[in-house]
Amino acid sequence: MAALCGMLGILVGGWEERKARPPPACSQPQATYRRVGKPGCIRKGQRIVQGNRVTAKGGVWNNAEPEPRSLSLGGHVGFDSLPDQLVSKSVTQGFSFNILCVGETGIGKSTLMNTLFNTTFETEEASHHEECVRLRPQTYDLQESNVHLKLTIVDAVGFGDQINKDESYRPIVDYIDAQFENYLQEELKIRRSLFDYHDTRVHVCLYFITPTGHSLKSLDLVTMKKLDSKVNIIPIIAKADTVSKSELHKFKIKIMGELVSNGVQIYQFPTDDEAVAEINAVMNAHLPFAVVGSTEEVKVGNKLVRARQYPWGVVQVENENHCDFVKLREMLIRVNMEDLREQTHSRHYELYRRCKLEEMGFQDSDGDSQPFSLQETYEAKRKEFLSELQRKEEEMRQMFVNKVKETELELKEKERELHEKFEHLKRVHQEEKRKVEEKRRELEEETNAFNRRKAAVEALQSQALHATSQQPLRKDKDKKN
Amino acid sequence: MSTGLRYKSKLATPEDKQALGVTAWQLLPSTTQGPPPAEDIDKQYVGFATLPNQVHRKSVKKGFDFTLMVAGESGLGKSTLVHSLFLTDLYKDRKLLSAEERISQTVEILKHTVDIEEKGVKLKLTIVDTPGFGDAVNNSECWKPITDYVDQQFEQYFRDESGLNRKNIQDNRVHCCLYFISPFGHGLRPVDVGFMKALHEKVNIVPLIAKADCLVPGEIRKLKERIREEIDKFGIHVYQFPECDSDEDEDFKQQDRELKESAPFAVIGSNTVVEAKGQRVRGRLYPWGIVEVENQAHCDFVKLRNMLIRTHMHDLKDVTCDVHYENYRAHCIQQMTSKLTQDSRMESPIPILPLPTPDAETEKLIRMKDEELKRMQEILQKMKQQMQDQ
Repeated sequence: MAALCGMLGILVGGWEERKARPPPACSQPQATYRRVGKPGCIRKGQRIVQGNRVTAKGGVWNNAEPEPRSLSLGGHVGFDSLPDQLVSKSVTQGFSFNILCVGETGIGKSTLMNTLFNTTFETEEASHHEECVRLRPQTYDLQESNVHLKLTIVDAVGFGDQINKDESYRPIVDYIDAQFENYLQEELKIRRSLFDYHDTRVHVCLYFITPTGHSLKSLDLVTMKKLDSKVNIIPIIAKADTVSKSELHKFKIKIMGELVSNGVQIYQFPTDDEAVAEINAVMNAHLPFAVVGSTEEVKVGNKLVRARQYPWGVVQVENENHCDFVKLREMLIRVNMEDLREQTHSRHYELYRRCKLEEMGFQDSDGDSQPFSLQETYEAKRKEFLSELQRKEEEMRQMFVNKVKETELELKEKERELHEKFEHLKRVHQEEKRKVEEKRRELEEETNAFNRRKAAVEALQSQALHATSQQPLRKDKDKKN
Repeated sequence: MSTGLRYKSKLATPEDKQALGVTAWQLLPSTTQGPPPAEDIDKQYVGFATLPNQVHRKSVKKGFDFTLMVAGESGLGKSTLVHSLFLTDLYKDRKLLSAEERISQTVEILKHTVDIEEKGVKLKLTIVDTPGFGDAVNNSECWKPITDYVDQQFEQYFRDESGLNRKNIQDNRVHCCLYFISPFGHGLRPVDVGFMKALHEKVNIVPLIAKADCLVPGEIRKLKERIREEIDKFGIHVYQFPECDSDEDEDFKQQDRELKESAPFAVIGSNTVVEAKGQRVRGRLYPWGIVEVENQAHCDFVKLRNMLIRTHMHDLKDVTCDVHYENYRAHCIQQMTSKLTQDSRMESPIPILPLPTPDAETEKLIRMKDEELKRMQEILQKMKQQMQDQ
């Protein structure tokens, strides 16, 4: 819708400015041009009031170009149907909207979503004892008259439950960055289909504040500071039926005061579009909205309304005196949904993209008249990167080869040593063997000598025995005789 | 406004004298006739039935003291509830910190003492406040200053009790801790569980559901059930109301039953008076109605007040003295004796008792007694288990 208004604005504004100012003699560049639509392209037929150094893909504008002349039409041409064409195109395409709900467990996030969209998104109740914060995105297809809405609700489960909440914000920030990253990747592809792409970037973050009645919690402050540059934050006071009117007034003032004094940038409803400027300005003063959610219906008077039935009264959700639910619904859905989407794209996403690309080393053109071409810089970067890679590879290979050589040498050394040792041992062994052989021979000789002597002695003995044995025989013979 | 429990006074009245006279007469074996004449009753009446009256008189003269601790995250209505309970403003000129100052806030302990009087009965009331609990981003061990404070009070009392001059002992022990549970969640949070587990053996914990005007009756029931389940699941010992005597009348017993069933109490506090149905009541004014604090159909404030002040105040004190303090004392003594046996020549760094240093024999005795105690405790446990199994 903002695109539509933008177009109207240009057309109308162009007329107005032409009437107000006579065409200047020489053009001094003044930065009063409006970019409409996707960045990086200039639509044909768009009037630029004052030329500035605009760089388009493959085109160069310079200050010398004369201002376009304004002409009056002689009759009805018909290009005032451009907005209608735009609208019918976007209706056929369908819209997508992504809401991030951040708040303590049990504070009423799911109930509020059910109440806002007048349906039941089935979500299971979360427990208080989750280890860490995790994000749970769920996508739904809704339709109202002939408009299709692809709604994604992302829930920060487990937020505010842990005892140590220092790192609670990190999964949320990581999720948002991841969605930006996905879009950036798609945008940088060579063959891309952006019109078909399911945009998952978070368009709005509803931050649920606990109704303590005093002020923000420290966790709220820390988290909102981390999120305010990445997403549109709308703070709301949840379960507002526990705060009485006077307390609510003080509470709201305290909250806004704390946000301002800590430099937290929450989403301001836009007041530059005349059609909605007034109502938006009024609503801005009512921030943060104090809401009550309910899906149960109670009979009040003679009709059924969504309300909460207490023993002391009935809190009606859609009664402006009771809570700010109607205001939230107006602002969030009926008036500013498109603006939220556009802010996400043109402010938060652009910031992310710029930071990311600067990290990678890209730079906008700086002084000289070389056009900034993503393509060329990308190519140059790529070549640089590749050569770097090759150099590193060479280095590593060299190192590897050197190491191999060293190891080889070492191994050879070792081998030689081993060989030597072996020889040495062999020699020693031979020596020993020889010695042992000698000893054996000696031993043998001795044995032989001994045997011979033994034999000799035995021979003598046997002779002696023989001689003596004969005598007893004679004696025997004598005896016998 | 007379609402809720009326404390049944057990003081003796002149009619009792008559009844007692009859009982005393029944014990005498010889008489068979009807009740004796009035003079005889006087003769048979002993009179120790007036003991309660004497206790009453003495206690009124002495005065009472009570220490109440309130704990819970900031913004749950603790100060408002204390104001509603005791109908005095204890928190004049209170300075609330802003969010950025609370990011790394530490827990403080603040004591406010007031002397209040009603019908001649004096009460020295001490409220121990714990600002900063659960407020920082990192709340690890945020209950430590509180447990340290409670232990400190026990230690102080222990020292005083063991001293030589015991005339003026100041009892600063915490008799009751009201713990405020946030009604915006689905039950107990990790910080609630941590706090209660750290303190349930040292102090009587009475859990409350704060700011109950954000819950419809169905939701209150569900939340109470949830909290009761989780208290059982995590093994937290909250303060149990004592059983009422069997000779109380049915009304009282009924009220007692209701009291037990509505724990934890869902309370609303208010320090403003509003006009409702022509009467001026304490309440909160909303565009859709007026919440009356003292209306039993709206919240359990009356039950809490009756329980805390009118019926169970003394029981809370007794449980603190008899159970929590005794546990602490036994633990302390055990530690001391074990330290002394380990290292008899080293100076013990714990409070110096004016007891003589136990010599070997006494030590042995003490150890034997301890062992006996342990054995008996084990036997008791076994018996309990057996009974449970049956």
